[in-house]
Amino acid sequence: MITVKNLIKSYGKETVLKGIDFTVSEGEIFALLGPNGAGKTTTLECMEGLRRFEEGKIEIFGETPKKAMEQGIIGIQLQSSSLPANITVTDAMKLFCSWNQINNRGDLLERLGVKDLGGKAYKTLSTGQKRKLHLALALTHEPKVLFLDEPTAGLDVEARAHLHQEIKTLKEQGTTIILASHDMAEVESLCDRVGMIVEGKMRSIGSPREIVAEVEKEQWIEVQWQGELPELDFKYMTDHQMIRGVHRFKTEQRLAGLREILDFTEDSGLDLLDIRLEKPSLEERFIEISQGGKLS
Amino acid sequence: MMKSYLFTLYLKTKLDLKSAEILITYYLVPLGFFFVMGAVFTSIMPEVESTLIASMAIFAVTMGALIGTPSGILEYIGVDIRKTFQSVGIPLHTVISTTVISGLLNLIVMSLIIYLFAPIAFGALRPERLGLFIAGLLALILTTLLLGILIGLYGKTTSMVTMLSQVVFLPSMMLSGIMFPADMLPRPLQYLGMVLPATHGMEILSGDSLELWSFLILAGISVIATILIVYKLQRLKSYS
Repeated sequence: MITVKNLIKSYGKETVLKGIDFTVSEGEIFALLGPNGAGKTTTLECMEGLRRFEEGKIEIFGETPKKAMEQGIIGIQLQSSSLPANITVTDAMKLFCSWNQINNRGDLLERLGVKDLGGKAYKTLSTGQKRKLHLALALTHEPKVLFLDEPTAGLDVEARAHLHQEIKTLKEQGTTIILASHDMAEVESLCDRVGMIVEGKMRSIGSPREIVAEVEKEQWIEVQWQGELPELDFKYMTDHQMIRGVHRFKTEQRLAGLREILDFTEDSGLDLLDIRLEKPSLEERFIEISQGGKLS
Repeated sequence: MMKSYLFTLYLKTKLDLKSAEILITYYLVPLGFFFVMGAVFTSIMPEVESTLIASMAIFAVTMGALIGTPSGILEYIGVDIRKTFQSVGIPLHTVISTTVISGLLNLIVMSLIIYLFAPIAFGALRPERLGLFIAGLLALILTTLLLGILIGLYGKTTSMVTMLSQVVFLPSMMLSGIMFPADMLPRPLQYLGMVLPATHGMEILSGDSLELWSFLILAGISVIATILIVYKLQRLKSYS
């Protein structure tokens, strides 16, 4: 279990984390979402033992972040990981294994598809190859907890899919994964739970489905009719749009709104081709929260 | 832990040998300077035969340590590599100490090349007291490397590091007595030269007697540089 309690962190006079609280269960994939500058990376770096914080408590399987790092409980892939320009892939692996006091893990290079690059200098690797290498390096000591900061930023579709598969495999093996990402699709498909940080505060936390379900009352109903449309006059609709022959109605009362549309269709003798309740995406929810949606 | 340290030292030395910057500043430029200036000096001032090895070795050490070392430190201590190393538990002092040892080895090799070839190429005279020469050379290399590391640690950008390096390197060339006798300089410049390791390196390496005062000044500069390095490392380690 990982616990973050009332985490407060300042840079000079500016307080960037204003009391962050959350827990992550063993074996879970937990994502930190938030706009740029929200405090995701700072939160991760405090948890990784790479940054000091003024107040609060972080426990990683009962240990402080520093001890968790020293004991090899955690593995870290930083947002901007880097290595000396001339170091080869093989030497980088040997260096990390040496400091983790384990035998060389050439198998990880093979598993992540960078073994053929063994003799190549770090500076000659592509962004995707570097990301894979850093993930391999973070996994050398088989950590119980893996921190990934923007793991797929700058990757092409194929590399991204490969990395997603690797993250799923790690979860199956029982690794607890905490990641920061901007990629909503990635978060929705990979993560068990999500925490949304905005302006240094945890604004919302839960599974992607729960967060979407928290959405404000207003929802859109999409309808497509065939036939001559009489004048539209709805009691429960607050907005109306027409996009490529599809009517979109905004309502605060989903059921009453649906009923009203069905009654209207029947009364007007229209042929109902399609009706659907537009499900908000995590991305829309994210935008709503980051623009000042309600606090959970 | 010792095994990890030794592997890091091996890797740092290997990477330094593969670095174009190190190759240029530790070997190629000093060698070029050695052959050109060796020929010029011995033809216009035949009496430099007795100080040629000392002045060329001091040039090589000052060039390598002050121009080559800081950029390497800047790369390794740059926030991305530093955090990546910290994430696996590589201490910052390991980066510094392996840089010093690797630099020491390279500068000894370069000085040895000068020591071996100067008599053959230019008829230079080897120092009479080899032990004193070696001790002085090691003291100079260590002090100058520590200054180079200091510049790399405190210069935040490449341009700042280049400027700081030149601020120490150019006076070292002009005021230390390796190009012409320091006592030909105006008195204020002679005093200014007294704070430069190269001046004291020249005193020790070109003399036949123990220049204890120069050794003490080199030791003093090393101690001050070490204190400032440790202070900076502590700040970087617990960064905000």
